[in-house]
Amino acid sequence: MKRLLKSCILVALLTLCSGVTFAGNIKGKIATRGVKSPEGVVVYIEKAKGSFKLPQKNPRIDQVNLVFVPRVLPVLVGTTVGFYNSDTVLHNVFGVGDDEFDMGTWKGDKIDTHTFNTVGEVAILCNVHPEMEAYVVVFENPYFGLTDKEGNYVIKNVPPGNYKLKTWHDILRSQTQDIHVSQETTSADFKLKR
Amino acid sequence: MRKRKLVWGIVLGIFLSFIFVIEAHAIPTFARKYRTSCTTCHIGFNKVNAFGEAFRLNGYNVPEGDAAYVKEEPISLGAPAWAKVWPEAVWPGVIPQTVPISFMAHQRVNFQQDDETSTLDFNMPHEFELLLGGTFGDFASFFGEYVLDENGDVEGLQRLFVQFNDVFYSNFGNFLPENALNLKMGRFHIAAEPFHNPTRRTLSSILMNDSTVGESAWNFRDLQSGIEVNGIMASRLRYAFGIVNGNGATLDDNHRKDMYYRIAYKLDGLALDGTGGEESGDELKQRNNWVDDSVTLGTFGYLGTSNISDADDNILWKNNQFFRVGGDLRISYANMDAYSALVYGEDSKPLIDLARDVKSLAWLIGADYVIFPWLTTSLRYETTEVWGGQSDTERFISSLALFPRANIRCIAELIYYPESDGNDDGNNLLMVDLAYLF
Ligand SMILES: [Cu+2]
Repeated sequence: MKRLLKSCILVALLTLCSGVTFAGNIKGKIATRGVKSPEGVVVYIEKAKGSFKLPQKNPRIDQVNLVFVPRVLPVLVGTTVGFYNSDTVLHNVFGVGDDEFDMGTWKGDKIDTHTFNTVGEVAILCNVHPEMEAYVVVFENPYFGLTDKEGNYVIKNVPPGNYKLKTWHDILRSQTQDIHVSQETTSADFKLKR
Repeated sequence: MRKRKLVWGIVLGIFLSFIFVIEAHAIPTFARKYRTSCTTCHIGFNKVNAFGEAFRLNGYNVPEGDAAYVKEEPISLGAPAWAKVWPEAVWPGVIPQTVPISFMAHQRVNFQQDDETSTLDFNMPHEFELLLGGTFGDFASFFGEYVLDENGDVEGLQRLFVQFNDVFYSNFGNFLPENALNLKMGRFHIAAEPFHNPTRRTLSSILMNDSTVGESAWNFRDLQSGIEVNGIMASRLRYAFGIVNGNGATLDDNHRKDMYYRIAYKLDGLALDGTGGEESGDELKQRNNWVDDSVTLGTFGYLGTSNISDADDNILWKNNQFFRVGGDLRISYANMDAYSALVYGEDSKPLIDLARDVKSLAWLIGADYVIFPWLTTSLRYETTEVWGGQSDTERFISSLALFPRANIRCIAELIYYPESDGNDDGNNLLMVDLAYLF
C-alpha cells in the first residue's frame, strides 16, 4: 500500500514536472572578430508559436558612472522597462529606432518607465552625455539569450521543434542557423564578423 | 686606385656574404594606440611587412575590425547609435585619445670619396622630424610629416593628407563592395611612384623615383597636391588613380593637371585587404610575420606638364608635356623579397637649349633579406638613361640594417658608382645612420 502510494506520488510528480521539462535548452558560444568582446550578442528564435507571459518583474536599465547598465537588454514585446539614474549628475534618456520616446532629463530617485510595444531595435541615448549608449532589442517571443563576457549564452525552455536561430549585435552582421530543439540541450555556436 | 679596389672589395664582400641568403609607415603613434611593437607592421622600419601594407592600404586601420585591436580607446564624439538620430544630430565619430605625434631622428656619418672639401662628415643631426597619424574610426584616417630640421634647414611640412575609407560602402549606402573606393586628398606620395619611398629598406632613395629629365624638375618622388581614388577589388587587385598639380606645390604653375594610375595584382600570400592570412584571432602576430610567399605584378603611369626654367629660375616655357609608364615585379619567398621595375618616359621639350623630345629609361633590380628579425640586408642595382646623353647614371647600393630595439635602427650603406661609361655619376658614398623613433 505504501509502495503504491509512493508510486502514485512519483507518477504525479513526473507528470507535473513534464510540463516544465517538456522543453529544451539551447546553449552555445559566440566567437567574434572585429570587436573587443563577444559580450552583448543576442541569440534568438525568429518565430515561435504560442502566447507568452511577460516577466513578473520589469527589467531595468541603470545609469552608473556615465554608462548604461546593461548595455544590451533583450525583452519580449510588451515589456515595460524601468530607467534609473544612480549617478549624481543629470542624465537624459531617449530612444531612437523602431520605437521613439524621450523621458527628459533628471537626477535622483525618479524611476521612469517605457513599454516596448514594437518588435525591433531601439537605441537608448543620453542627450547630456553623447558617448552613452544602450540597446533595447524587442522580440516576438521570450526565446532569446544574451552572451556573457566569454560569449556563452543560454536560451531556456524552448518547446521542441525546428526553428531559425538568429543573432543580433549592434555592429556585427547577423547570422542564421537552422536548429532542431529536442527535450535535451541543443548546442549552437556562431562565429560573427563585422 | 687603391681606394677604388678597397671600395670594390667591400661591395663584393657584402655581396658574397649574403648571396647564399638572398631577401613598404606605422609610427610610434600607432604602436601606442595598439600597444604593440613596430615589428607588427615593419620588417624593421621603414620597410613594412604584408600586414603593414594591408594596414596602410586599409587607411591605417587593422583589416577586418580595427576596434578589436585598439588599446587606447578613442574619444567618442557621440556613440555610434547617434547615427539613428541623424539628421537631427551630427553623425557620430571619434578622435584619437592622445595627440597622435611621434618623432624620428637621424644621426649620420658620411664618408664621401673624392669630395673636394671634406671626405668625412658628422652629419648630426641629419634629420629630425615630426610624424603624425591616426584615424577618425574606420571612416577616415590622416597622416602628416613635418621636417623640423634636415641638415640645418627647416624643411617644414611634407606629407599631409586625409583619406576617407569606403566612401560608397558604409558611408553613403552600400553601392560598392568593401575596400573598393577610398578617397585621398592633400599632399602625398603618388601611388604611381615605382616604390613607395617612405617604406624603402635603404637610406638611399630609389634612383628612378628621384631622376629628372633635362631641365624639367618633375620626378616620381616629389610630393604632390591633389586627389586620389584608390581601392582594392576582389581582395588582391589594387588600383589608384590621381589628379594632382604636378609641380609639388599647392598652387599649380600651368593650366593642365597631371594624372597618374597604378594597378597591381598580388598572387598568393596575405591579400591586399588583409584577408587570406593565417587565422590569428584578435592578436597581432609578431613571429615570422615578415614571411609572405607571394608574387606581385604591377603597372603604373604618369601624364604631366612641367615648366622649364633656366638657372635663375626664369620660366622659359610652360608646356613640356611628358609621360612615364612602367611595370614592376616583386617576388617574396621565405626571408627574401626580390623586386624589379622598369620605367620608360618621353618628354616633349625638357631641354633648355633646344626644343626637342627626349626619351628616357630607368630600371632596377634588387633584393632584401631578413637574416634575423633584427638584422636585414639589401642589395640593389639601378640605372637611368636619358637618350641625348645628358645624364646616364648607374649605381649599386649595398645596405645592412641592424635593429638593437624595434624603434632604433643602425644602417651601414654603400653607394657605389661604377662609372663604366666614363661619366662622373657621383662620388662613392658610405653612410652610417642611426635612426630612432619615439
Ligand atoms: Cu547622461
